[in-house]
Amino acid sequence: MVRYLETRVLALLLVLLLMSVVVFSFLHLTPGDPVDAMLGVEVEQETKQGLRHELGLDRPLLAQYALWMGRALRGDLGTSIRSRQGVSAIIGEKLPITLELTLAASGVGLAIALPAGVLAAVRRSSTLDLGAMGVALGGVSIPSFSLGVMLILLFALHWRIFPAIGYIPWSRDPAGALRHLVLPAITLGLGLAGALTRMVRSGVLEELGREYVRTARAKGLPPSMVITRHVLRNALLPALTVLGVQISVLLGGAVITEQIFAWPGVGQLAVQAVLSRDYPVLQGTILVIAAIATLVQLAVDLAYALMDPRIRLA
Amino acid sequence: MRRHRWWRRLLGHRLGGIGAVLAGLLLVAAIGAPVLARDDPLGMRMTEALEPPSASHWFGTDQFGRDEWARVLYGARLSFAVGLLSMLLATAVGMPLGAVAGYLGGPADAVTMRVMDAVLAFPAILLAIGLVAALGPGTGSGIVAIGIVYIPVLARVTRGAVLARRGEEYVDAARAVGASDWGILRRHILPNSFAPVLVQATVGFASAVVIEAGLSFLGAGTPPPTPSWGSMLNEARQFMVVAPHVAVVPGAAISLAVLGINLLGDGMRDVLDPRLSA
Repeated sequence: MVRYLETRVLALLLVLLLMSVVVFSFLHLTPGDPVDAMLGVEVEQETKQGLRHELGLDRPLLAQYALWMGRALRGDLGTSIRSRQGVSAIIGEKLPITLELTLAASGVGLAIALPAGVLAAVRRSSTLDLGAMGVALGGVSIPSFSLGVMLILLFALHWRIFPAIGYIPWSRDPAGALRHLVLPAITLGLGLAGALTRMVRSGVLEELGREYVRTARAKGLPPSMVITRHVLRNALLPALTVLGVQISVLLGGAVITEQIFAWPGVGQLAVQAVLSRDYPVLQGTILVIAAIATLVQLAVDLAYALMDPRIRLA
Repeated sequence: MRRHRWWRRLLGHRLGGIGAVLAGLLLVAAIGAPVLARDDPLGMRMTEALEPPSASHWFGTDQFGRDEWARVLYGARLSFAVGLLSMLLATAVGMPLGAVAGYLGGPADAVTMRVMDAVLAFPAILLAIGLVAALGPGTGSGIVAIGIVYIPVLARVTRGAVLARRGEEYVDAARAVGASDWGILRRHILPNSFAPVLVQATVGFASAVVIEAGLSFLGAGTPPPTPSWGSMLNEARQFMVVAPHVAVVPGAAISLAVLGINLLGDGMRDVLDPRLSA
């Protein structure tokens, strides 16, 4: 296990380092002068020179990267060129709002995928199975912006059950916060539900054919107990690894979902940064989201290894 | 003869057949847009703004009185072009990278694949947004950005296929008769690795359509007035209270196109490469 942990953490550090190079290069891929791109051409030379110095653009490329990375490691992601606030502070303020959305979406995904996947597997080839797989396919195929707009159209504008857009902190008004959370969480969670349902179904199907299931049935255990006590424990492990990969998809999806529902998280921050060409904010946001996605992936893989001795001891 | 059977089997494949038909419709819309559209997708007529579907405007009109049927068709053309070109780019770069890494093994493989891992670790849409921000918004940047995002995916699948073929007897036989590494890779291994690459590129095509629409939805993709399903949906949000069709039409178009290509990809996986199907 220690060896497995070592290799995984080393690989992670390498990937994080390479990711930081990719994010760093965004500024330098810009055709022409990045400072012109950020400030426009009509700004005075002195202002431009000031920004160039602040971003370290007047130094050699390697020194620039070392400076940027060194600051980032100390938690300093630079200063927004629009609001002049510290990028780390802005992200720190908005990150919990995004995590709230992704957590709620994971909840929606699991709440749908677990029962749907199990039922589809147990009643294989029935109408129920076909229906669940159809919904799963829809969940995977309908893009979040399309689904979100449709949900607003039906549940907010037509039936007026939920508010169309906006965010309310839990500390201010828990009931309002929940009402505002429902549509974005469903929008983001259905895609996850689609991917997970397929995994749970195939996991349960595979386990149902095993000998221990036959033994459990033969000794007279009720079918529901066979599923919950024996099959699910084994079937859910593969589904867990999918959840790890899906966290990355979820965080990416949050970018669009936040834009649809005017949800003031880091996704919306990234989009505003693109539109206002605020590179420090954009780089910081992408770096933080990508790092979180990678760390969660590692955590999930480690949890998987801990739970499955075949991997732990290999 | 073999090709004929391949298609037969795909169309006979329950869901793959539906996917092939939907993807075929997308292709017809993309190629035939100038003929099928009965109106100019850019022609504004303010007096006919936000009209519901009717005999003269099958899918109604948008806020500028532009014909939605024409705009959806030209939107299909854009989606198809972005999907095709970005996957060609990803394959053109990713396939050789993966093939060489898989065939050579050792440090070349390790370095290439770690870089690919790093690119793959980003949420796809986020990396695309960052790249578009760097390259400047527009359809061309979108194609390049999506292509770059999918290079590691194609490199990985090619590498896997090459690794699986490398130990086959016909490769040993070719080496025994004195074929060069490059010759073996090009003549023997790559042609036999093509099925998984094609399947992956098809699935990537669907993602490319989603990402392009997503970028345009966010205002970082194809700029107006060029019809893109994403920007049509984004603009529709302001008007969908009075005219729901302006949101439903592009939303349904994206969903059906992506569903179709995904089904086609699943079907191709089952038909072309049974070993990959779950």
